Amino acid sequence: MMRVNEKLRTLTVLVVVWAFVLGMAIGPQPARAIDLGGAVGDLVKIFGIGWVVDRFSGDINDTINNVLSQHEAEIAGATKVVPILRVGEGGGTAVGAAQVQGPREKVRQCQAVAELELEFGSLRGRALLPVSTKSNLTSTIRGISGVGVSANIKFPI
Amino acid sequence: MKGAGFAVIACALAAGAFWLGTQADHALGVGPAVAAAQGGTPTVADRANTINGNTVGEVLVNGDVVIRMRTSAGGFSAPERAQIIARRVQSWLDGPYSPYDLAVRRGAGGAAELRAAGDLIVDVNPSEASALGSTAMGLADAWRSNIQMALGVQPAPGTPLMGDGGGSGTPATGARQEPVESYGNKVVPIISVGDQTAIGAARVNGPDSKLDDVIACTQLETSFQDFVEIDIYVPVRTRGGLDRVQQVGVTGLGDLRF
Repeated sequence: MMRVNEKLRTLTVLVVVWAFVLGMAIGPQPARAIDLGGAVGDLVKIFGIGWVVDRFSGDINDTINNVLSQHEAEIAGATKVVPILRVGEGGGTAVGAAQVQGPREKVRQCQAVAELELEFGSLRGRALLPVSTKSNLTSTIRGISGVGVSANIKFPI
Repeated sequence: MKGAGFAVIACALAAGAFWLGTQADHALGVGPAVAAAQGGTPTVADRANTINGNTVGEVLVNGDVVIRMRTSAGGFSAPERAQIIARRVQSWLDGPYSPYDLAVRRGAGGAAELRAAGDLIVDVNPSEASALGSTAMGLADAWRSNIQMALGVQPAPGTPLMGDGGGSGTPATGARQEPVESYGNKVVPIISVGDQTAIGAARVNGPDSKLDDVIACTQLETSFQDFVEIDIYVPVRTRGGLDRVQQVGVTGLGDLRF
């Protein structure tokens, strides 16, 4: 009886070790776009724009680059989708998203696009500055040189 | 009964171990997917692609398309030309190199040459350039910028032209050199693709030499998951066209309030 228990214990340990190694070898599955059939709007309402941008940034980025590729107007260099944060609201709350473009290392630094609203009479403008932080967004913040916005992503809620 | 209970516990333990394994892989970055994405040597590849029904040959550096051949020449098809160019780029990158080894020089018969440390990378013929509404020199310069950006550096304007004998003026190392060209801003109209009427204004930012070329921003519209609306801005040389000026991005949007 003792011998059977010992065998079972050994077998269990072997199975557990094998499963662990298998998990290491396979690794986490990459995130894939799923057809939510319009559920993105619900996700935005429940979790907020920031969460949705974080979750779907890669897929939105690919969508934009595919459209550009179809029109033979691809961007040379790196691109990335980041949230747009309004200056003066303490940061943290995304009001939209933007695709930024530029040299790979500078795009990697970019964490968000700071939006600053300007008005001159009947002219209304929005400064869009790619920045390397998501906090302390004040009107004195400076953008990352060499990085620009290539697409404005709007969430109609 | 006891055996069934043991099997369930064993399965649960195995599942837990599997999950722990995937998380350990994710945290430690020892899995094959992570390993493949790393590595200091630039990767060069070529491929055939079909765009608007035409077969083109593409050269990729670090996964970015840097050169797209649209025409055949010298008895070689566009994909075959891309293959030859990729081989030359690979050969250059295999040795000690600097991204600023690349230089554009004027060739014979209106052609242009893109060279790396004196060695020919690609001959840009005028027909290749005119297919894109550009000049041979302009296209060669754009390809040079594409390769430099794919290598992770700012494209250097006005790289000194190199002689046939090779020997660039830059050290033959992988060390970074920052270009000195200043960046500027410009306000241009936003125009829907294929249209002529402005629908807004955009402030664009980029190297001074590139900003001169930008006369408008073409707006393309698309959506994601039928919910998210996306306006894509392409700084261009022609009103309503899609001849992108590289290295220029939008840093502001403006409109009139009625």
